[in-house]
Amino acid sequence: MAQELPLALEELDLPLSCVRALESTYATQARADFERYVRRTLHFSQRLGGRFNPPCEFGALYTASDESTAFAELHARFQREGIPGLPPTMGMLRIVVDRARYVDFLRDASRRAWHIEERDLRAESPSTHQVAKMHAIGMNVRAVADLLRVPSARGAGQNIPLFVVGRDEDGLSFRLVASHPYVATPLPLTQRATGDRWPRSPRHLVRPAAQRLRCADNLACPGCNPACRRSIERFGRIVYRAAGAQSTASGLSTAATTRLRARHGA
Amino acid sequence: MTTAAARKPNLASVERTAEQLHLGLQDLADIVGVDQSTLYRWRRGLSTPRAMVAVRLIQVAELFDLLKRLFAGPDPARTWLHEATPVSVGGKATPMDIMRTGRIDRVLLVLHSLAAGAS
Repeated sequence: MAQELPLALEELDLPLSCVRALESTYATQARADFERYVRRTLHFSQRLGGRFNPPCEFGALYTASDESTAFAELHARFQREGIPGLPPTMGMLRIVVDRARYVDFLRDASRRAWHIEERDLRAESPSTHQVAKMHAIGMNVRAVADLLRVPSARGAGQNIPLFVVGRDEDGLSFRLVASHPYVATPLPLTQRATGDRWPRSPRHLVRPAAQRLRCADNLACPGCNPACRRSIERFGRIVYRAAGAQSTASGLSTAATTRLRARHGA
Repeated sequence: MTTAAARKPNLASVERTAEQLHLGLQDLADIVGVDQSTLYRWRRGLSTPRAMVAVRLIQVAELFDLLKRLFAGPDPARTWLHEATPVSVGGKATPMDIMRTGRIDRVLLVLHSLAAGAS
């Protein structure tokens, strides 16, 4: 009788939603060209390494199960690099994984199968031995699965590293469903500005307005233009919090929404 | 990510930002890999940078752009450049020290990685 290998692998039965906190300009870039963003991120991750990928081996796209965990994890990374906090405004990506094989380290059985304990996974400052153990797990899991579900060391949620270039091309399927370039960082994690401030360049003054216009094209159009419709389907509803008084439905001011509705006869 | 500002480095704008970060002309010259008199000649239009040095100037503009995006003001950025010891580049040298050895690319890698959301 064939014996089943104790790998504790599972297949996603429902799409898995995860988020990733990032700097606002990168969020805009991810929205414009998600593939390029992923490629660049994997390159950075490969060069510098991460919790489950040793430096110079392979890259992983680290995501979290919820916004507060994503912020907490990124804040910890900023602190490791000597930066006391996150910028006051950040971006947020929402990614949906449609198809993947995974190992769920939230389960006792999976942790036992891979010889890892919860305290190793939750260690805020892992020892050299714990780091080596997690790197070994990442390298081995990547050979047979596409992602991990791991309890976060900082937040209440989970870490979900995606091994994008993994076992085979058909293994993992994921997509960007929303990109929010302006999200307020939770106050305890925010950098405190002391003394002087950066001068406001013309670029900084122009950027929000330009994005609002692009947003208008994408979100307020009732569907006369197929390109707009595709954008709505791809990115969902986006609200820019930092761009002044806007209606929550479309990210536009009430006057702009009225003008657009009148133009389209809606 | 190379921004429009970074692709067209403007020495005057680079010098303005350097001043805000309390980087002297000598610091800037060290990062770019030239001596102060060369910077002075570029500023006066008496000479133009060679390709290798022009690339370094572009990287400096890119660095300043990233600092503006990741730090709430010049003060924390200045402290980071002069006092922090980022773990992912060894955890021993400050970003300024790393750049003085000609490895501004390593500092850019750390900042880009953070900006892209590495965690």
